[in-house]
Amino acid sequence: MLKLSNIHKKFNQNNSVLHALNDVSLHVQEGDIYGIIGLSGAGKSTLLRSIACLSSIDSGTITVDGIDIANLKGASLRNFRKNIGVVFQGYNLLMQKNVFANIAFPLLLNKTPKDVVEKRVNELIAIVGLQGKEKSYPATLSGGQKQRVAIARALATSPKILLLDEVTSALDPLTTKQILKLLKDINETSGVTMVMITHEIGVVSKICKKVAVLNYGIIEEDGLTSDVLQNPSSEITRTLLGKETLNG
Amino acid sequence: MDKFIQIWGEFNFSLETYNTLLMTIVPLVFAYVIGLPLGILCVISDKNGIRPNKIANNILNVVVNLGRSIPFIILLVMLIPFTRLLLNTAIGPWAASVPLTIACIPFIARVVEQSLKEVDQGVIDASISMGATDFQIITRVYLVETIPSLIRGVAISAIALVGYTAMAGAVGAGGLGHIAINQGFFRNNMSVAFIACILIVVIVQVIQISLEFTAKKVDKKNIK
Ligand SMILES: Nc1ncnc2c1ncn2[C@@H]1O[C@H](COP(=O)(O)OP(=O)(O)OP(=O)(O)O)[C@@H](O)[C@H]1O
Ligand SMILES: [Mg+2]
Repeated sequence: MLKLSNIHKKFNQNNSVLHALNDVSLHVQEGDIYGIIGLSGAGKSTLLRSIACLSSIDSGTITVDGIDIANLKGASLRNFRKNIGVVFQGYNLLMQKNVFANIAFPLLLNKTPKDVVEKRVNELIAIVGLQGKEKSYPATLSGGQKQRVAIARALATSPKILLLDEVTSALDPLTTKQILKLLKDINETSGVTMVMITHEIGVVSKICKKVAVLNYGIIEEDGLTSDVLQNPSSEITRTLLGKETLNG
Repeated sequence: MDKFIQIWGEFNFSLETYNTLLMTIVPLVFAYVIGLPLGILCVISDKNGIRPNKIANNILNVVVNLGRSIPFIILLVMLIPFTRLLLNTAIGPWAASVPLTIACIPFIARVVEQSLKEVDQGVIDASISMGATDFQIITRVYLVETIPSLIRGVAISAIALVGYTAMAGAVGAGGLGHIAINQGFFRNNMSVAFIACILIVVIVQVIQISLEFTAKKVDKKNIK
């Protein structure tokens, strides 16, 4: 359903050119929880921003259910966006709006009727387990609770794909476990396809069915998580697994 | 006390307090009508804004900087013909509101710009990813997320205006500045100047305290 073919993206960084994505191809199937793992600076967020149509790519194609998303513009792009929910690295919640209003925000943007919004938001609050927190403001929530709001907000428009950027890297182990379980439950009940970006191998082994290993913009290997983790074919995967240090 | 009441009546402090307030509030409102959109345009046309436009941004910056660099006292005199054309007179508090408004526009544009720049780029990205239009990003994200800061900006602008009204007062606009300078200091009537100054201080304090209170009250980001 989500297909990336030969994606290239370069950044000009004071006189030098950085090849942030170098011939990246991926195929994510419907209902997958697809992990993209790599060290800091590997190009993970750049990849996510490309899929989310937040930044352009230099060449290659990204298709969602056969639609080439790089060609979408203006109103058709805005309209298409409800198919993709994004949970960002730093929550990015609206700090002056309460939990309810944050989750309702994407629905209100496309003028959903009030009663539909109310019903959907309450549904989402129940899914992510934030009952009783509707009127709280993000500033008063814990990291795990903020992440739940961000997940609920990203799911509000019932997207086909949920993009998750380092959703657990700022959370303690117990909260991480709860959030991963929540995501797994959501995936199982709603069938939403998830692309999980992370630098933690534990996240991949816990919930990702498939994984791609990204290193300096290049996909080193990809496949079923069990295969990749048991028989890593690249050094970077072994490094991420902690089996080998970079210095050998 | 009797002397105070006598001075108050003789120099018409009630009317001049009213004139000072008029010369603060009227220009403040008009200057925001123009300064707020200008501040918004500065932010969105910036290279990191939602509608980057180098030419528009440069023009805006030049205009705003130019406007801010002309000393108010010069602007006051320079705009007399324009004020006459507009209102048929160049004296009195309403006439003074014309240069006061114009002097305040670039100031407010910058104050608004500073407030709006407090919005995290990530929040803007999130809104774009949720399908927000540029207009929705401005009205529902920029202007809502920065309300406390915008209110503080109103206080800063209003207080700057109170200062300007004193200068305008010296050249025929009336107001407390006029009493303090022309009838107080120039005629060596220090108690009159003193009362006028106290009243100006009170106005500034009321603006500062009430708007700071409101800003704190509406702020949901920095709650203890
Ligand atoms: N807008 C940009 N301009 C220039 N260089 C950029 C830009 N965005 C990213 N880069 C560079 O591209 C590379 C990949 O960055 P990216 O943010 O995708 O890494 P990441 O894998 O998400 O890292 P992290 O785990 O630290 O979040 C980095 O070297 C970064 O400096
Ligand atoms: Mg990143």
